[in-house]
Amino acid sequence: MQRPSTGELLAGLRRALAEQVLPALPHGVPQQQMKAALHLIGRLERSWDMASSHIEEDNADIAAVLGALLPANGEGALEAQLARIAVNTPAGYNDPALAAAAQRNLALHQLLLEQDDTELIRALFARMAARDAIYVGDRAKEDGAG
Amino acid sequence: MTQPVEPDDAQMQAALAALLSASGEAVALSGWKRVFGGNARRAYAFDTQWPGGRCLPCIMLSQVAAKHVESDTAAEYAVLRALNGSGVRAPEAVALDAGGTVTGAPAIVLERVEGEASAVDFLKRPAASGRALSEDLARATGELHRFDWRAGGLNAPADPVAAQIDYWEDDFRRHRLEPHPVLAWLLRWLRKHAPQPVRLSLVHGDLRPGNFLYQGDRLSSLLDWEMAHIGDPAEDIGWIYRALWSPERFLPLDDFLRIHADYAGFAIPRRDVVYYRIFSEVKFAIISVAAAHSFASGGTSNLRHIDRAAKIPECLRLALGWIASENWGARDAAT
Repeated sequence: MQRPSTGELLAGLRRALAEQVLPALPHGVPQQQMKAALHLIGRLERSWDMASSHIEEDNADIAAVLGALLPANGEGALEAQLARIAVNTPAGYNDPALAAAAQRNLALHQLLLEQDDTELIRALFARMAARDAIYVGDRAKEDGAG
Repeated sequence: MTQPVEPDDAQMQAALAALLSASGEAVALSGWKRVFGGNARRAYAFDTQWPGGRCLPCIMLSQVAAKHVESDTAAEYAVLRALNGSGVRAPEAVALDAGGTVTGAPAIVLERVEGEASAVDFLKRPAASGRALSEDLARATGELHRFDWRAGGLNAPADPVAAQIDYWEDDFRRHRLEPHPVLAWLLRWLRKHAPQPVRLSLVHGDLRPGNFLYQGDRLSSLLDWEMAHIGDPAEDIGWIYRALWSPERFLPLDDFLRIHADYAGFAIPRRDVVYYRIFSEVKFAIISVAAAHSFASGGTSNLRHIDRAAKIPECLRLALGWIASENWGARDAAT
């Protein structure tokens, strides 16, 4: 155990920047940039330790659905199809196991692009969107498309 | 991608005066001031004095590089020129600098209309004044959709509805950082279930609180015509009623549609608006994909875009919810 935890560090970082740095910045771009940074730190604070479980859950759900739709053996089987999809190891991961899970997640998502529109796929997409919405935990009000 | 070097203010004013005087009249400028032009453009306010004595407050909007919403300044200018004098609430189009001779990037000069644009202040209004302004938004939207764009010299693609889906799908494919299977499926769904528009209209394309000026309870001008195109007028209403900036609490959608029909001269089926609510979520998700790409590729250092991909899941969740809310199969059979 390590205290303060990553979440506590992010919370402390956000508080100190908001209390001491933001008010000292000139209005306009510097303050806008700091407010956006504070928003992101807050979101990371809420989600930093959920990446592993999020990706594993997504992978398991997609694999279960595709496993039910694809042949059990041969070239059309799930693992055989994943093996033919070339996906680079995604950037930004330190943990090799998490990097591997993220790489498999990208391959599964790529394979989903090739699937026909079925009720099973639609239900999966609804679960994926709901899961991602909870994971990113974004709370900001948008202020426009532009 | 780097920004083109911007000339200094004196150079820009001299070049602008030359541009405005190109027709042979010597136009004088005064009151030059840099103002906020949104996230995608630089803006400069000034006053013009024309030889015949006409004075016109103006604003020049200049493109920036690596935008997350791509646009064509010349096309925007052509739309605004067509609207000049039409009664549609839009600023007068004064000049086009497609070659970037003034700021180093394409720019347009428009009449500077008085009014407030704050979406936050609008959405915080008390119910009565919020409703009054929302009703005027419905009237202004109806007036826009009634505009005879053919007589105005504007052109439409062969299939304007499909053209919009093509446009956003192309944007999606060029900018996605990952496969996004749900978003790709939604684009296919939109293509399969696109309604036949009751009428083709000039569509603003980004009509929402924040993109119009108002004074009291009256909307004085629609702004930011970068995404204007010929299409289904239901598209604008679906965008206006996106949950995060919707005037729904002031004016229920059905009331908006009734007022709109009075001023447009035709009625839009409610289910077409539901379709365009789905379209709007997909469009916003793709704008977010492009914004995230823009930051990730070094095209912008605006931190509003660094985590823009976090907006995507909620858009997809809402779009799937709207799809589940209607019996689209029955609708397809009926049309």
